[in-house]
Amino acid sequence: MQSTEESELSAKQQQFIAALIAGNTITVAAKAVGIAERTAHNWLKQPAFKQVYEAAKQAIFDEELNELRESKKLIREMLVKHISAEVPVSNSSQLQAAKLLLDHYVVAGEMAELNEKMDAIQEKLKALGVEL
Amino acid sequence: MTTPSDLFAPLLEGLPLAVKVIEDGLPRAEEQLAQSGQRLATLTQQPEWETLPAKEQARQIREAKADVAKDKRSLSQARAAYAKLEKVRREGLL
Repeated sequence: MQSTEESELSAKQQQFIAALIAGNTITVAAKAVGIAERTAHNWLKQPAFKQVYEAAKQAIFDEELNELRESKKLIREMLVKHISAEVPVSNSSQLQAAKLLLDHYVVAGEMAELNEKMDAIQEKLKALGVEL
Repeated sequence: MTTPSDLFAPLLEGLPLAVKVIEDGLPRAEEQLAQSGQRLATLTQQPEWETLPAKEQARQIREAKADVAKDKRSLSQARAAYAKLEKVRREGLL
């Protein structure tokens, strides 16, 4: 079912958004749905169009983020299976998997440290009355 | 938002095993290279060596050399992993 915002757009506008979020440039997307490039730029300035376009981009981003999270989980599980030799694995692959996990652990440590620094900076800025 | 514990928890689970694999990996790789090197060195001293056809001798030498090359690469990987582990320990991350 179409949302209220989407239904306010014409079929061409919805097709244009679909072409844009598929990764096409404005020029290519406009050509694909048979509109002038100038029309495309005009649509992109309209609030209702922008709202639907942004929502569509966000939905795609969320979906890809979830897929990425799932992939990361699978990769991590596969790494542990290689390290523990739960799957048929050569000594060399087992060692490489162990080193990879260690590398990720170090990176995670660095990220955690960065997160802490960011939190401290945000606290200080907040204390100074700076809105982020 | 991803928190530090989100990042660490899944990795911590596999970390002790990864450390053990790396620790055990170095002596194992050294031993494997020593063995394959020994095999290559003594290949022509086998009692039946002289009776083998030249083609078979060449094949066995080729295989033994390939094993040595493979084990050298494995040792190099094991050393790199071990060095990384030592570095992480020195930095107090483990």
